[in-house]
Amino acid sequence: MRVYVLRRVLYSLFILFLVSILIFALGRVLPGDPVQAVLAASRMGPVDSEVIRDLKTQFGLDRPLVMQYVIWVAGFVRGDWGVSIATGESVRAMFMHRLPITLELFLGSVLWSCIIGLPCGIASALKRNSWLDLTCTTGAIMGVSIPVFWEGIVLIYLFSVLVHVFPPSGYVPFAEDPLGNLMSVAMPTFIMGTQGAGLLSRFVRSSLLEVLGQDFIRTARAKGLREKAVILTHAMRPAMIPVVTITGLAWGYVVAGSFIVEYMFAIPGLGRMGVNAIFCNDFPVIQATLIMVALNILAVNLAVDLLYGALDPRVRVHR
Amino acid sequence: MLLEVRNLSAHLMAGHGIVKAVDNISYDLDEGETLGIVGESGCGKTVSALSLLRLIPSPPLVVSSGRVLFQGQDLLELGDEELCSIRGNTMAMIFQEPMTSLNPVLSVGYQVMEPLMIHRGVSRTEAMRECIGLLKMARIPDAAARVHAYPHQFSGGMRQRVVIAMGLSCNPRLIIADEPTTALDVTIQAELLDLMKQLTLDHGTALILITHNLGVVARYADRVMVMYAGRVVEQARTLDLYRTPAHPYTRGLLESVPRLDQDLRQRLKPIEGQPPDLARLPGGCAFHPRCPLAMERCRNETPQLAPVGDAHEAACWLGGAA
Repeated sequence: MRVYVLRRVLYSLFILFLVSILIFALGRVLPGDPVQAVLAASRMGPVDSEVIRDLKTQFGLDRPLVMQYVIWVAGFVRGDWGVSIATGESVRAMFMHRLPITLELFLGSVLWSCIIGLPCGIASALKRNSWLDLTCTTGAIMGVSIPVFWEGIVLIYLFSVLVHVFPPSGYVPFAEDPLGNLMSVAMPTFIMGTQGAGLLSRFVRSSLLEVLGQDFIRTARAKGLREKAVILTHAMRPAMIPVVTITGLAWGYVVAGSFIVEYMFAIPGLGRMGVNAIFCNDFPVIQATLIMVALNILAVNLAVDLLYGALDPRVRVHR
Repeated sequence: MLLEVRNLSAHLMAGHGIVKAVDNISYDLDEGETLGIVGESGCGKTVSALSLLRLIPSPPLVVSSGRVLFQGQDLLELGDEELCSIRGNTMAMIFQEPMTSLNPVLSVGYQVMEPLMIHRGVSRTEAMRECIGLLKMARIPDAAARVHAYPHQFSGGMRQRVVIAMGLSCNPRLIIADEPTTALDVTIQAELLDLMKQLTLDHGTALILITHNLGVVARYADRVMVMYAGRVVEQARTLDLYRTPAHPYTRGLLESVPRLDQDLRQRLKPIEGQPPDLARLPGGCAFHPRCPLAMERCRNETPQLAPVGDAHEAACWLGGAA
């Protein structure tokens, strides 16, 4: 087991390394010079090349690329994530400030995915080919295929414009107004969780159906277990093994959704920070955001791999 | 009488049609008796056993009819709750695939303990103690340590021992063993069958042994029932069946198995042709297209079981004269 964990961790670190190179390279190839962006933002009018060179030195942009990368990575690991070109704030401070908001959105959307996806999947597996199954399956396919922005517009129209249930945008911190906080995140998290819910429902259905056809389920019935016990103790755990993997993948949807949703609902989280940074070519912020996205997804998938071991004794012993 | 099966039929959904997988079979079983059910694959022997405890899900099961009197109760009439209290308790099953009939994510001990906890309501610690005893009885070495192991850590033979221990856990009156050793090495087969037979003798448990292996039946069964295309074609005491087989199909089965006392130059005689498709059974006796002795009558009329000797019945127009 220890070897298995170690290998998974090393593998994740390697992926992170590759991603960091990609992110770094991306920043250098994209059109648009950060220095020009700063100058444009400061509205100084035309400046001479002297000032530009000074600025480049200040940001370290005159060094060779490899050095820039090493400096960036070393700084990042030490916690020095640079300074935002657009605002002059410390990137880390900006990040930490917004992290709780985005985390709340992540957790909320995973919660939505689970409370919709799991029961739908289980119900459609147990009542296969019934109208319930058909409804859940149709819903799941719609959930996976509806684009986040479209769903957002429709829901805002329905629940904020036609019927005033949820606020159309904005974020209320939990500490200020717990109920208001929940109301303000209900719709965004639902939208972020929709695709995950659809995915989960589909996979729970097929996985549970497969397990229910196994010989050991017949054995469990032959032992005299009630149907409920057969499903809960004998079918659910093996059925969850592939589902857990999907949760890791669905997390990617959630993260991607947060960029769009936070922007739509004017939620001051990391996604919105990332989008704004892209608009103003704010390299340090873009880099930090992308790295954290990669780190986040890798960490979740690592957790998923480790959870495997808990669910499936065969993984625990063999690897 | 422990078990009386009367006119049991089972219709299954297969492909686009409905087939009669079990057609009107009847038999009796006494306390402590061993009945062998023999036949080729697809002859309905497994379905007939599974339908006793209503273990065939619907679909594919469309309808089963007849009566299955077990200790005076008709199992086909029972509600789900009552049926659950019989399954694994007074009537247990041992399945054919030891590789797949145990749950891979639950410990072996837990799976053996389960029937004890449901049917006798014993506590976990008590169940664990009994479970270790059961595994020891099934001759699993180092049972006390291995209760916590998972099925994948056991060999095929050891898993089948676990399955046997599980079947015997509540000391049932009847065990149905469906091809209990088919997936195992020959050497282990004999060992496990001996063990099973010994344990059923010790506890006075009746046993229905479903197999395609005539050797197994000869050694362990008191009586034998031969099935073909969903019907019983012959039943007799084991010795009578081997000495004086009355149905051409039974004779064909016996001749297609090598014997130690046989002349080595003599070739084995296979039964020509294939078992029939249950959806398209030939008219008359289902065996007639493959039968070397078929007559005109066999094509048109279906023979019923008729006595051909003492406690010996066959469904053939030739009767015992064949």
